[in-house]
Amino acid sequence: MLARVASNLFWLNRYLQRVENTSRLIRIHANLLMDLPSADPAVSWLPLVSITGGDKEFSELGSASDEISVCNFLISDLENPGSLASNLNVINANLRSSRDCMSTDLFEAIKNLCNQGRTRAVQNLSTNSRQDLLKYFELQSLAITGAMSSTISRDTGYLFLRAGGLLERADMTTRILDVHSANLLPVDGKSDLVPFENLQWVSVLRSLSAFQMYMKHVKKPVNGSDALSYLLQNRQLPHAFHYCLSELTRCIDSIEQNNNNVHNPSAIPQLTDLIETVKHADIALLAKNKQQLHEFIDQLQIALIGVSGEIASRYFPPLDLKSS
Amino acid sequence: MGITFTVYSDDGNIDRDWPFDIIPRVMDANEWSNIKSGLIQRLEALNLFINDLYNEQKIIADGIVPASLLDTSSNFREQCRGHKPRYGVWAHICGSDLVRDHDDVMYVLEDNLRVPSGVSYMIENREVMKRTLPEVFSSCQILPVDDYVANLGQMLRSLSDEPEPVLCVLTPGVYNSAYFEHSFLARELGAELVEGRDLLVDADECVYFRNVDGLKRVDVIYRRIDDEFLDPECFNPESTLGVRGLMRAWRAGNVAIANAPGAGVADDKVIYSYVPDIIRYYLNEEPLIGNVPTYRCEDKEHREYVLNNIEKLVVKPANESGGYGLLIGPHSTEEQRAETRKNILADPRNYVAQPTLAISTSPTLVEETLVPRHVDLRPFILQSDVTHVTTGGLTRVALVEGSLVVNSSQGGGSKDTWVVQTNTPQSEPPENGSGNAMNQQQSNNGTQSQTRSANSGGVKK
Repeated sequence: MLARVASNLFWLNRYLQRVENTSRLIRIHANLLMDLPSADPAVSWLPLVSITGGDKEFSELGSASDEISVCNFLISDLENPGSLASNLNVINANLRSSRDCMSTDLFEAIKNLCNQGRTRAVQNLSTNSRQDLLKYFELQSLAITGAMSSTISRDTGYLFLRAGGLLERADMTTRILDVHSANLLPVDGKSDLVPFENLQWVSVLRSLSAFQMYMKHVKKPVNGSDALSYLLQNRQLPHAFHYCLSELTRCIDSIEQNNNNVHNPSAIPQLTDLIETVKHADIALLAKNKQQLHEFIDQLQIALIGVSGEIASRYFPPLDLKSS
Repeated sequence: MGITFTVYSDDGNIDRDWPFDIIPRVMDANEWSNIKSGLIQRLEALNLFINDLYNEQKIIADGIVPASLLDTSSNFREQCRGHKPRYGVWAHICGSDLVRDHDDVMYVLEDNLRVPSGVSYMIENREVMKRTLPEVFSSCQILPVDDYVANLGQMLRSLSDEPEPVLCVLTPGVYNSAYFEHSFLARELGAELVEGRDLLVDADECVYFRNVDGLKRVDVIYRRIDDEFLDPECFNPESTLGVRGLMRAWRAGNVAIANAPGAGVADDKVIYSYVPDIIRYYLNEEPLIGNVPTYRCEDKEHREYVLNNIEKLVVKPANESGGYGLLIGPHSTEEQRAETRKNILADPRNYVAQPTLAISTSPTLVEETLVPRHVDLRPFILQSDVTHVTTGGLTRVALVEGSLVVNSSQGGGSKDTWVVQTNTPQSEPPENGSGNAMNQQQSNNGTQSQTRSANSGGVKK
């Protein structure tokens, strides 16, 4: 398989995951805000901008941090490389060179996502049509995941798709935890929002499709410590950090078995270290201390960037060739 | 199928739709068989010509084609001098544009020897027609077109010594207007679809894919990139589409490239005007398909004529494709004519002119009624050790009323082309058919082609 095509598949699924997760995040967040007392924008819409890494671009726009501006920025703004519309454009271009690796079902499912996105992701959506659109993105993404899992052969191309998806999912889980917890956790136990803390943890779980599974498996009222442990350390929940990394390790291992490339180091030792770090984290402490949680998550994110880099340098075309 | 058809109509933002007209253009198999022989003759002569130009240059020594033409040709590649590709063939894939004039005779309007496109539409158009009008296909004998890709594959493989050569299609990338075709052909050929950055010329002067598991040798490249972007080391140093060192690998004989670099020299519209002489020179035969009479603006007399009669003529730049820079005299404004006159005077070598033909029309569906629209025909000819011609080809149709420009880059559409076997007393294939009707047809056409030669001969004086 061509190195460029492998790289395209890897990134294609990263972007697809990003669309799914961002859509769910915005939709769930809007629902949460309906339940909270009207608060300052720092805890209402701005956290979404931070989670998607768009702080700099958004502040350059100089627009208000209200619902409409933030949603435009995150959904339809083509100037924002992190918006859903921009992601869909990247996916659409990428699709042209990845088509040969896909089944027709998978190709059409992705194509539909892009086409709908292009016509429906416009500026100033009403709350209703916005929530509908986001729900559509989530459901279509699930259709794509379904087509991926049931219509294509487990060849090298599939493994790169899957690796990209898992890496992105692990990354999104850390982002949501990081930003939300920064705003959620009381600094000294005296935040105005303390009464709503559990409500917010419910929202975090829902943003990662994890609420029902939490209730089913943890069987305790939602609280910071248990939610954090579930999202980071659980080995069965598809959005849990540990689960994603274990699956990613298996995936990379299969890629290595299919392709005897011995010139570059493997990403597996790094992944193993990272899993150990998460497994042995002192969750009770982290759940109480905002600063330590932030530092811990930062450490995880840097490690993920390292893993992605190892995969790229081992399998993808050299960077200086990418820009043509 | 259909899926591949939806791809390009779906891709609104990158590709324009390819407007398809459901009414096929119909041709008689007997007539086609003559055209086919003419196309084979033409490409064989052109390949002898290109090979001669890059080697002995006998045709120039013998005074048939002036040497000055080469010095000023933008598609003559000095870097190709002295190379002898396998079978002496440079242009392996040729798309010739044919038009029918008011005298019912087919002429070659131009030869595309660089990277002719459109063949995938020919194949897809047929697929669409089979789905839409299956009854017609079972009731009359429409000759199939889908053997093209198999012949293309065979031709490409014949360019390498390897028993199972590794093929690739080299595309400029996903934003190229013909990307759909590149990906279609790669898929159908079982070739890898690559961009320049996927290939690498190593110290051994062989070409390799950059694969996930390291490098893999490439034997034959079907390139869809123009010469000047092929190799930044040799041609345009700014090119990011090409592969550094590719020309070295090609000259060393470590990789075959189709069409060979430099083949475009015969694509020049001034050289076009010499093709009948080229055929006579190399093959010692009369051309079976005529040229459209062509005035070379570098010739003083021709130029005077062109400048004085510009409103009756079609003026073309010698080395453009896709209908760019074209002036159609009768449909032009005074301003456009003045502009073209100025361009001709500034660079006469780069312009030719032809009489405006009464190009034939074909019934076309526009808003639910049938109306006449001008059409041309692009058959595809393959040459290596053997030669193949598509049955029919891609019919392009100018969708705007009265327009003579059918280029897809200028708003043309396409039709399926049916070469229909009308008289089939025996069940022999059309190529070998020997019925009376056909012989008569052939002798008719023979007369016509003589008339044509006389015509084009007259203009050359």
